[in-house]
Amino acid sequence: MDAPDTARQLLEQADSLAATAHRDTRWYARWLVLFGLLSLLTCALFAAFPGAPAVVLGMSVYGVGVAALVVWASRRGAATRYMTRLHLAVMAGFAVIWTATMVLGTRSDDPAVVFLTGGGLILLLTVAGAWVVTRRGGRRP
Amino acid sequence: MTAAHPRHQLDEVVHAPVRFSIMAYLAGVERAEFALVRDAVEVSDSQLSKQAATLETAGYLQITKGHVGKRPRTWFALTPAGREAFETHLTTLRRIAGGR
Repeated sequence: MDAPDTARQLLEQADSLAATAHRDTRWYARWLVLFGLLSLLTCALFAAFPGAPAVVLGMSVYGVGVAALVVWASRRGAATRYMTRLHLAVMAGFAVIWTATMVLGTRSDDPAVVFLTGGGLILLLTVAGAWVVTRRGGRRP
Repeated sequence: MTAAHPRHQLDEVVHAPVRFSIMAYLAGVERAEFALVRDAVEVSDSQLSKQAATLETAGYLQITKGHVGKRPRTWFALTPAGREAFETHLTTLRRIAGGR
């Protein structure tokens, strides 16, 4: 095989398949954004309904939402490159922000501000993760 | 015609059309499920199994079998050697194509 045209066709084919692979892994970017929105919604519930109702309502919404996201993720057929590393990094960041929000929010004089700030930070973190997924996937293998 | 021509550096394991397509798809992912690769590459189940086994024997592909719920699933992932072989193959193709 030494024809430049054949080589070019193969390279175009590789590009096309890489684009298909990218399309098949973009679900994870949507997953991250949905997880961030769910976290923000839960924090907003904590801000709106202080005390025991917030815990019951917020954690119910959160539990159902996370369960739905886990089921959805388990049915996806492709994982984006470095997904394990990226997911661990985002979840570690989430754990830190979530813990700090809960600790500070339950002890603050103005818990609504703390909960909404924490939820907003989690959403920012997940949007950043989604940006990495879409950007990285667009690169040539 | 000399041995210095880039075509001599093409990896025959990678160069076969279906195997090339499998590797091109998998190069863009961490891992992918059997059905997704089959649909992307447009081959039959048996053809994909056969070519995947060849890539696995060459050390270019890791095949993992498992279950999601009660459904059996097969996952494919390029090994580091597979990624390197495919990247080298693309570099050689670029040279043949004229320095793309």
